[in-house]
Amino acid sequence: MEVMIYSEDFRIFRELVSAAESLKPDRISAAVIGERSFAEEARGFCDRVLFVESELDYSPSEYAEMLYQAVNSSDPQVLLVGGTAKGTPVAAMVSVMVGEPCATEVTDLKLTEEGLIVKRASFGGVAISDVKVGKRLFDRIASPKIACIKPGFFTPAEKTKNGEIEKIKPEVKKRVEILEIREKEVGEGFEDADIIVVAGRGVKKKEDLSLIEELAKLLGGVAGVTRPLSADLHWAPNWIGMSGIPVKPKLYIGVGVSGQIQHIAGIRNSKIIMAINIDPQAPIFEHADYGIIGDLYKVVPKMIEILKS
Amino acid sequence: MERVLEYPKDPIVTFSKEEELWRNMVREFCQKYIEPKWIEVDIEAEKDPMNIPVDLIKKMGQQGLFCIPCSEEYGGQGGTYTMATIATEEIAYADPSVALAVYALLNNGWPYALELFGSDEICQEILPEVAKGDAFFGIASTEPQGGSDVAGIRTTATKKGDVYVFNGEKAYISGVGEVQKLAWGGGWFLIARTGEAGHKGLSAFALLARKNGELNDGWNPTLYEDIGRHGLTTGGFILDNFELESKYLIGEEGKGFYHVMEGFNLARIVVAAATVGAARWLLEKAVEWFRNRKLFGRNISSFQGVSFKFAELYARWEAARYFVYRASRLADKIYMEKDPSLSPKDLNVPVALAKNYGPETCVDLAEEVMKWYGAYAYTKEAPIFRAWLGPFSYVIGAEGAQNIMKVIIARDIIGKEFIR
Amino acid sequence: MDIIVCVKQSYDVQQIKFDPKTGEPMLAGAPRKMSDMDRRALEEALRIREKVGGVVKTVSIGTPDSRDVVKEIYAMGADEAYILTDLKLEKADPDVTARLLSEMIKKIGNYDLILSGAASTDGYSWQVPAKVAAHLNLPFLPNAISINVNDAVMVDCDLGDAIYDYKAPLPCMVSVSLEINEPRIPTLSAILKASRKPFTEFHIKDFEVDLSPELEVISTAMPKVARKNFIVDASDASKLDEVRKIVDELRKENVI
Repeated sequence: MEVMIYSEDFRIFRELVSAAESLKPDRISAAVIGERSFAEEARGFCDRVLFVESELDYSPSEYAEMLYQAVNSSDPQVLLVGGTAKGTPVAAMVSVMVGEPCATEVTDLKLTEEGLIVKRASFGGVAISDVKVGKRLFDRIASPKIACIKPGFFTPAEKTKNGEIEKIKPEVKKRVEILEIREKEVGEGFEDADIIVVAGRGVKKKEDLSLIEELAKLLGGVAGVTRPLSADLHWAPNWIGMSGIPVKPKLYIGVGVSGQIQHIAGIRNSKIIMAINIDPQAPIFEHADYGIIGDLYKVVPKMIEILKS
Repeated sequence: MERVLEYPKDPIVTFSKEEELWRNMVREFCQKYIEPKWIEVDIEAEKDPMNIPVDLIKKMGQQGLFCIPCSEEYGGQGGTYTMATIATEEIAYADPSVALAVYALLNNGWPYALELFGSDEICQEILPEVAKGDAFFGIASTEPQGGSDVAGIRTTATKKGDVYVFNGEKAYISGVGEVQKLAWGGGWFLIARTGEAGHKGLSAFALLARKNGELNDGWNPTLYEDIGRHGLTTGGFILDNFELESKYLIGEEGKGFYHVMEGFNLARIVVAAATVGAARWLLEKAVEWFRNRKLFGRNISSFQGVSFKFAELYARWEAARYFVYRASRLADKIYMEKDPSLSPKDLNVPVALAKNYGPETCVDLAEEVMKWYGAYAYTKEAPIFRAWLGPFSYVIGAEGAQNIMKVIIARDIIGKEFIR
Repeated sequence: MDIIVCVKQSYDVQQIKFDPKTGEPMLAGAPRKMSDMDRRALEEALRIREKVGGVVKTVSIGTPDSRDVVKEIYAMGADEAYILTDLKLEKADPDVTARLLSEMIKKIGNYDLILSGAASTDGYSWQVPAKVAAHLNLPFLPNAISINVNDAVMVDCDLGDAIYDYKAPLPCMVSVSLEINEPRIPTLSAILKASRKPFTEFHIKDFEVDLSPELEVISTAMPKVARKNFIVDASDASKLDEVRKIVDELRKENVI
C-alpha cells in the first residue's frame, strides 16, 4: 500500500510523514511542486519523491492539476495533504478529479478492514467526529482517499530514508495571475515550544503583555494570546485556539483566560494545563491540572519572584 | 453568543417566521452595538444627564428600531405592533438599565399614536425624523401637581387666530435633553386644556420644542438627576406664551383625553415588554450564578430557599411575558387588522395586567438576584443594581402608576359604578 | 455583472448543546442561521452590484427546515433565490453538496462570478467552494479578504503565509473569509418585503446526483480529558503564598 503526501510547508510535510507512517504503508511517496531544494530534502523522509517541475505561482486550480498528475504517475491508496489555507483547496479539487472523497480538519487517522477512518474536528473544533472516508475499499488505480491533516497534531518525523526522485513535467495552463505577494505580520512560532503562556481577556492593557512575556521567558517558553486579544484588539498577529493555532506543549499556562470552548479545544492535548484567573467560576479551571484563583497582577509577579529565588 | 436561557417554546403566543427573523436581527444588532456599551452609557450619563448616546440612537434609527409600526410613507417600518414589542424586549435584554429600551419604546408607541390620530401633514413632518434617530417624540402629560389625574391637567392652550398659545408646566417628562441634543429636535404628544374643566376640555398636540435644529420661544426646560437608567433624560418645562400653529392639534379639539388614553395603552405594552426583557437578563444572571457558585461545598441553588424563590419568580416572568404578548397581539387586531369585533377599550384590562405585572416582577427579581449574589451585588462592579434602578421607574409610576392599573382592572371587571 | 452566491443555512454552533452523558451534540430543534462566511459572500455580492450594477442570485441546498434562509437572503437584498431541499440531504457530505450546487448553477446558467463562504459555520470542511469550482472548471481563489471587479476580477487572498493579490478572468469562483466585510443587518421593512418575494425551488429528481455520502460520520462527541483539578485560592493578599504550592507541583511534574 502506498501513501502519498503533499504540503507546501516543510514542517507540515514532516508531520505528514508521521501521519503516513502511522498507517504502516509499504511505501511513502511525496509530491513536491516547483521547489527543487524541497524535493531534495524530501528524499530523506520517503521512498519516492515525485518532483513536479513548474514555474507557476500558487493557485488552487493549477496546483490541483499538478498534484493530480503526480497521483497519476504513481498509485497511492491514500493521499495526505497538509491542511493549510493553501493545501486544503488543492486537496478538495484533486478529490473531484480522482472521484474520491476528501476529509478535512483531520487530527488522527487509522486504517481498518472497513477502510480509512479519521478523526476530525467538527462544529468548529468543539467536537470530534469519527468519519469513514469512502464507501468502497481501494479498488481503482491512482484513486486515493484523501485526508487534509490539521497542522500541529502529529510530531514532525526525522530523516531516516534516502528515496529516489522522479521528475514529471505536466502541461498546466496558467489561469490566474499573481500581481503581488504581501508579507503578513508573522506571529510567534508555537510548534516547538515546550511551555506556552497565554494571555486572556483578564489582561487589561496591551503594555501588560510584558508581564506574561516575562513569565514565559523565565520558564524558557513562548507567550501567546487568546482570540479576542488578537482578532478584536489586534494586540498580536495570531492566537492560540482551535480557530487559530492549536497547540500541545508540555505545559500550558492560561493567564486571565476564561476558557471559551474553542480555546479549550485548541489546547486540549497539552500535557499539563495550568490556569490563573480571578474568577473561581472561570470554565478553564474545569480543564486545568493546576489552578490559582487570584488577581493575575499579583499572582504572576509572585510566581516570577518564586521562580527567580 | 451562547444563551443561558432558552426562549420559551409556546404554542399559545406564537411568532411568524418574519417576527422570528426580526427578533434574531434585533438580537444581532444589540449584541454588536448595545451589549458592549450599556454600562458605559449608564456611567457617563450619571455624571451628566446631557451625555446622551446620540451616535447609538442614530445607529438604532438606521437599523429601523423606531417607528416600527408606522407607515413606510412616514419613514416607518410598516411592521406590526408586536414587532415593536419584540424589539423593545430585546433592547432591554441587551441594556437592562432600560435607558435605550425606554428611548425606543417611547419612539415607537407615541409616533404610532400620532399616526393614528394626527394629520397627514404633521406625520410627514415629524415621523421621518423620529424614525431616522434625529428627533425624539414622547409623551408630556404629567404636571407638578401629579400625573395620575389626567383630567385635572392645568396647562392651557388658547387659540389665537392660527396659533395656540400655551401656558403651564409639565414635570417628569422623558426626552427633555434629547430634543435639545438630537440633530433635528423633537417634542411630545402633549395634553393641554383648551376648554371646560374635566376630561372633556382637554386636547392633544404635537408640541415641538425644537425643530430643524431651531429652539422655539417660550419653552423653558429643566433637567432632573435620576437614580437610574442614565442615558435617557428626564426633566420638566415651563410653557410661557409658547406659540404653536394650529395644524399641530392632534385629532379634534376636546378629544385629547381619549386619544392619550389609547396612546397610553399602546405605550404601556412596550413598557411592560422592556421590563420583561430586563427580567430575562436578570434570570440568566441568576442561573449562571447558581450553576457556578458554591456555598458549603454545594451549588447555592441546591438550597430550596433559593431554588423555590427562583421558581416562583420564573413563573411570574413567564406570566408577565404572556400578558405582554397577549396585549400586543390584541393591539395588532384592533389597530392593524381593524377587527370589527374589537374596540380600543378591549385593550384596557390586558394592558393593565401587563403593565401591573411586568415591572413589579422585574424589580422583585432584581432584588432577589442581588441577595443571591451577596455582597458583590452591592458593589458598583456588579451590574445587577443597574437592572434594578432602571425598571424601578415603572413601579413608581412612569406611564401610569401601579395603583392606576389596578383601578382600571377593577373598574372594567367589576363595573365602574361598583367601585366608587 | 451576474453573481451567484452559495448560501448555507447552518446550525448556530454557539447554541448547540451537548448531551452531558454521551457528549453527542443535540441537533433536534437546534437554532439555525445563515452561515457566517456565506453571509459575507452575499454582502460582498451586494456591494459589487451596488458599484457596477447587475444581478445577485443565490443557490442553497439543505433539509426542508433550511428553507427559511431564503427570507434572510431576500431581506439582505438578493434579486433571485434558488433552493433545493430534501430530507435525504441530512447526511449530505461536501461532495454531494458541491455536486448539487454546481448542477443548480449550470441550470441557472449565465454567471460572471460565483461567491461562497470559505467554510460553513457548522461543517467547516473548507471544501465545497473548491469542489464547485472543479465541477464547473472555473479558476478558483480561496479566502478572499477583498474583491474588486472590472473586466477582470482582482482578489486579495489570505493564504496563511502571506496575502496574495490575484487577477483572474471572468467567470471565476471566489471563496471569502470572515474578514472581508461586516455584513448588513436587514431592517424590518426589508424582512417584510422579503417575505412576499417568490423563489425558485429545485428538486432532487431534476438532477442525476448520487446522494449517498462518501464521508460517513460514525460518531460525534465532545472529548473529555481527565485533569487533576488541583486549585488553590490566592485571591487574598494574605494567601498569596499559595502560589508556591503550584510552582512546587509543576517542579514535581518536571515541566519547569
